[in-house]
Amino acid sequence: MSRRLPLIIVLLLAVAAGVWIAMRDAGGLARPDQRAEAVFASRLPDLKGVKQDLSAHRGKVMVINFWASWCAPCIEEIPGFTRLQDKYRDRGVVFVGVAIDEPDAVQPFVQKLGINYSVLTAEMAGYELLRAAGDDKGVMPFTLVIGADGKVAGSRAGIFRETELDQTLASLI
Amino acid sequence: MAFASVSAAALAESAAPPLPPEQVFALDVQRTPTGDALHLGFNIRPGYYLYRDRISAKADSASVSLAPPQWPDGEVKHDPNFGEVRIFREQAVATLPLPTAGGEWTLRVRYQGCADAGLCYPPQTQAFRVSADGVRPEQGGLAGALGVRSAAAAPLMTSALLAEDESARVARKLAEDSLALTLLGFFAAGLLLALTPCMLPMVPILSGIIVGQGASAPGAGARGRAFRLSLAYVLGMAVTYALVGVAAGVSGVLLSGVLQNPWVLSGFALLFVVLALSMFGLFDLQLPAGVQGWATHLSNRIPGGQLGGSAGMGVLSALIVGPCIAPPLAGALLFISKSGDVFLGGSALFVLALGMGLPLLVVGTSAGHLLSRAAAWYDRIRVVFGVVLLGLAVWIVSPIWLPAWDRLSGAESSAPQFRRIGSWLSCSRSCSRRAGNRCCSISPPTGAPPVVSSSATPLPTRPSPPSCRPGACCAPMSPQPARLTASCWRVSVCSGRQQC
Repeated sequence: MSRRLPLIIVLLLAVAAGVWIAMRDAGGLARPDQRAEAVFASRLPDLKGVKQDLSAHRGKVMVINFWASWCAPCIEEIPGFTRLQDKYRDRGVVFVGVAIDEPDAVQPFVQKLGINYSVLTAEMAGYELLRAAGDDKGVMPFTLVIGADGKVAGSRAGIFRETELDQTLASLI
Repeated sequence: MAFASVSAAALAESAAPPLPPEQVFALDVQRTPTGDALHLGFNIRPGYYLYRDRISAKADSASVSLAPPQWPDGEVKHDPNFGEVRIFREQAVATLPLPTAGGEWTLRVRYQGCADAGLCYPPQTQAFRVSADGVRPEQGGLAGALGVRSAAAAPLMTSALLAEDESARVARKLAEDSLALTLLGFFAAGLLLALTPCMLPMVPILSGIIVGQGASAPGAGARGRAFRLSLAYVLGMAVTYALVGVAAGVSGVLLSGVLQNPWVLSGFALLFVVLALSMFGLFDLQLPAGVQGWATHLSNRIPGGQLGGSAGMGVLSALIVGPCIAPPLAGALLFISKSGDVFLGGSALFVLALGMGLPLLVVGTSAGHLLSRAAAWYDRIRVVFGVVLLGLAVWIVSPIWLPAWDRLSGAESSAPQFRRIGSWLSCSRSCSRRAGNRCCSISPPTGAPPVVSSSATPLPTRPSPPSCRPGACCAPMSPQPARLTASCWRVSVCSGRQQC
């Protein structure tokens, strides 16, 4: 028995390493739903400072877009979002903008761009949500599409073209 | 499948995640040769830019008043929403006059940039400790030196490792080739991997199986039996790698990130020490007896159980040597995870493992023949294996202990030569693990072999403008373009396309 002990140790270590790696993989596969849940668990202030519960949109198709006033590509894609919000408003699609910025810097852009969906602002909390939503580098724009089933249906770091988002939304409703 | 509802367009986008900001904007701060100013230098990856007017430099001490850095004009970018803005591409170097007040203080440089692809990075802040000795980036203790700052930093590390230009280019090239050519490439890569010492632990294990089985086999069929056992072993190994490939293809989770974990590294190093000690004969692992017992046990119940036992050992062996070949494996995993193709991932790594296994097959078949007549050969050679295995154990954990030891020994200058070797080792390990980059090394004018200087005690032979730090990866960056190829400047992260 004692002669086999080292072998047993070796085997146990190897198996433990394998199990550990397998668990990491499983964690990676389970992530999309955690991203959606992180969004639903958030409460962020709107431009008037009133905290809004993102879980209020559960059951709808939700497009959550992270942006900032200093981010040129973010500003570039927003007009497309406002058009799609108009197009799909009656079909259970809700857009939410999360500006990782100061409210005073955001307000002029909301007016200039004619944003027709709710815009929430947050700095530190916004970054935390951005990371929890799957953007681990904190790049913007970052857009997450959550289906009516509460699962992440798509995400995009960088500009989400209007035609592509249109197709994604059409497939979800 | 969790990803089934993801639209094809979104999936295509998520296959190429954005690079971490530190891979895109590399900032280096150096004292000028005259010592009365600092050079702030950015190395910017092609396709990315920094906003000139969003770069600021501040001192954390009230007693230090800084003049604004003098940046070049940069190029004009016309933005439909912001009008004309000035940006930097490729490189930007500013001079920051130093205040006469001495002492140590911290310089905080804040900057913000974007990618031409249409995304922006949040403002980044980098801190540098400025003292009479020089300038060094502020790091968060041992964890920072390891490059494993936190669990959250691990994905960044992985992507940093994989975002390196060379492997990205290889991955792109592979993606353009046909499946057959790709698989052929993986097979060739496997053959090359088989030449690394990482495969050594497999040789005695396989030999053990063959000796154990061959002893009980009649002499005439011994070679054929050895071949079948070797084949079963190699196939077991290949299936394991294929599963890893499928995992990479499905999840996009890169296993090399897991292998950066100090606990995992230590565990595997321990395993190698145990294997080495058994090679020295301190105790007998009894792999032959163990395998034979297991195989016999299995073969009593299952037809072909002996082959199954051999295949099972192949699976375990693949897990054992996994961390050892992790750096080269990373490139392959990058390719697979980018393609997101499960079939390709599985078949590519299967073929890679077959390539790795081909020499084993040859050794296994011939060694079974040889060992049946001359067992002494194995006894002599296994001491050599033991030494190599111990070396591998040290090498596996070197990212953990070398930076710490280097700092400790940096305080006292008793063994400069040894420290230099230690510095170089820790540097080469952390660089290759982090981004596949070269280490910062400088050649002293005497023609002696290149050394790596230590930040704690600068080497006397050190030329004044280039300065290096253990653990730093390097890229040339100089305010004078003429010196670009000659000098090696420390940057916190290498761009990969440049080298010393």
